[in-house]
Amino acid sequence: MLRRTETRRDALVPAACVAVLALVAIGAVLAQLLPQLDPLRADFQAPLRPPGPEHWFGTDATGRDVFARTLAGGASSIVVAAMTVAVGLVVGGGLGVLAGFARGWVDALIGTLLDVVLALPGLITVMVVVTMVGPGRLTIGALIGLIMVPAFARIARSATLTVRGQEFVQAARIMGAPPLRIIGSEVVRCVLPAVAAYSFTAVTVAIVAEGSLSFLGFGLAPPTASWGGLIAEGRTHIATAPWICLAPAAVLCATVLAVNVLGERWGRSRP
Amino acid sequence: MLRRLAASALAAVTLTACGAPAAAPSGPSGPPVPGGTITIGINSEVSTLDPAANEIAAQATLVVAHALYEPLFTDGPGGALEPRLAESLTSEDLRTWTLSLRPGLTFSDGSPLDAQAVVDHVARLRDPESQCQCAQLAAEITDMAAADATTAEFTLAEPNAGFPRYFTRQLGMIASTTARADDGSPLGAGPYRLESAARGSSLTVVRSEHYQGTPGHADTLVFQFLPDTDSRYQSLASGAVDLAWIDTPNLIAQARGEGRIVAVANASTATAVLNTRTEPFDDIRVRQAVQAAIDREALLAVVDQGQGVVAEGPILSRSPYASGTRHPEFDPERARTLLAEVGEPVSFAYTTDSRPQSMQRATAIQQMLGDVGITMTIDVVDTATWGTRLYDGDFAAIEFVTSAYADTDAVLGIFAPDATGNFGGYANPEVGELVEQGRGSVDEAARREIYAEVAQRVVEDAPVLFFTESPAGFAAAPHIGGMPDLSDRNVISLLPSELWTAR
Repeated sequence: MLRRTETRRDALVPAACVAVLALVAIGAVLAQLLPQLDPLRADFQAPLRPPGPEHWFGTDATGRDVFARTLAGGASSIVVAAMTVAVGLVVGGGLGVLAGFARGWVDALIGTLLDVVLALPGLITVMVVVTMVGPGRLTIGALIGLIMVPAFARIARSATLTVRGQEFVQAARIMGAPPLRIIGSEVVRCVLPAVAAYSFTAVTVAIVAEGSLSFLGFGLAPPTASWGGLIAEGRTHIATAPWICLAPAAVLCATVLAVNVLGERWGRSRP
Repeated sequence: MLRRLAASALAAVTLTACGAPAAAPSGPSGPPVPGGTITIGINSEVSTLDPAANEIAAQATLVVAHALYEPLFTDGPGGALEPRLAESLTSEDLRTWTLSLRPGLTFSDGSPLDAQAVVDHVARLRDPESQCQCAQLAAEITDMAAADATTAEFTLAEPNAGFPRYFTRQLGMIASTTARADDGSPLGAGPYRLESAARGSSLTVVRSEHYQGTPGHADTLVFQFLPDTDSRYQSLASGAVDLAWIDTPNLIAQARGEGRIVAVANASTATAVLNTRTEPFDDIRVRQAVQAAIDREALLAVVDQGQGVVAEGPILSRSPYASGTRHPEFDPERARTLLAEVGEPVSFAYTTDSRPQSMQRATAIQQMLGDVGITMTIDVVDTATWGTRLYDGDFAAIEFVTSAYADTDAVLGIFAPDATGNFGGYANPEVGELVEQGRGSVDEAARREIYAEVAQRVVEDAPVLFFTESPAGFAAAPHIGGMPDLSDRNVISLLPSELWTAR
């Protein structure tokens, strides 16, 4: 009996998480396609309307639909998160494997570089660069990704170190396979699952970081919708029109929670 | 009994009327309570109290100058001037002016503030090396001298009806040129003197024993620097400050709804300056198209939530020179026709700072312009960058929310081709000549007519877009007494010495 409930919950929770993420993703796509869900179009006659049949999440101070803006904000978060993971996986994973496989001075050099990046205060570094080069989804995603590189690299390096001494790698080396080929065919295959598990964490960090940046005014330029930006816009009205803040905040929270839960399951289910 | 009932019913009716959102509550009842500390949240850091550094001459920081210096004049009801340290400033021909000071004035160290001190102060700010924004205005003075202890004579290069108003800001904040406080800060003759300054955080001032007017009620005033709009309001709500500068319409409405005392006026004019030196705004048709495509009524409804009024031009609706400028109507069709004449697609960047109402205004304008086929991008920058861009002319269009339009005589001067404040490089020589003529007209009716002509030319040439006259001012906690009704003012001039705290 106890077992059955556990099994059911085991299946239900991830399903619910996947559903939340799917809704966010579908909504983000729909907001780009459907003209009814234009996140930028304002009805100047209807500012600060509470949620109702016409505007499900109400309207903001300019008369824009908060539902449409929340969905569109999801698109910004997805792009930024994808960019973060891509940069983190490729650059961080690459450096980690290289350091772990080559050892010696390469390892020392990469280790020092990563320590330098780790020593930089993440958000502040991103703010400085954004001030210089201007904001954009890809820029912000890439910057957060670069900040995440040391974490990815360390995980990749430690996974590489365990693989490096194993027989099949030794065998490949004795058979005269070139190092790059060994990395490509033997090492990456073993390192990838460990790094991929960390990607879930990276996604949540990226979403929250993008939200924080936009909230502080260093994120995407207005009127582009982003969750942090929406929350920042809404906070002046939190006493009179709380829905402007609460809708994107709730969706942001649900998304980060879902990604975290799924990441945890993935980590547990790996052999 | 019956009479008492009737009286209380009447009182109830009056109370209900007071509770209506439009009327401001009056604060604690009874006579002013002396003593105590009042904390005032202002919107920017004041790192130096020298009037020449301009930091205490902005509308939100004038309150600091009023405490430490008390200018010669302050803005009064309906655009009139109220004498403070001065008794009067008069002229027959608008060229030679006679200033009379209140007798017996002293700086906060006890040294006398006489006519010579005023002349020395003006000379220091007029110096070409001076950083004062008022240096160009002061340079209009060709000759000045102290006639006796309380009388000074000024001679101007050209007649100027707006000369007295110069003494409401830096030129009127008389700082001693001979003595300084022990910590090097300049000395003023206001009701308070500097006690201590915490860099980047606050200024503390205490009652000055050498002030010659009615002493301030509170023993101590603390000015806290709170640049973020929302945090400043939250500080007021939480009781961390007793008074806060407030220029966000929905927060003003909220302050009223929550029973705070609000002293506001439509004292800040929201405008955008177009750079007429470069494309696309070197073409008057593009400027007029942008002007015709912007619905000012919608901006008023959305950005100001219906508080404030639509701005019709450079002469404010409450200016003594108000003349009914005919601003071109909101007409998207006319905008499209003008753009069709231009033939090329128009796109430009709109520079603004990140205050909530500024971002909202920018996005609303972006949509209005998009509707007629103009692509506008929004360039959000921090306040310092915004200022640099404005002064360097490094922009296509830049938001400029200012209290400068409160002074019609002075502000029309910025439309003259070589004026310092002509940020967009607007060059219409006729307008420049008209401004000169107007200022020099001894006859007020003639001056009014010429100013009306200037305003009309300016809105037709559209070098500056006028949006709204928006509310700004101070909100105070309910235990603060002495909050004035500023609704008929053009500039928010709060005298902190009149405030008292019931705590």
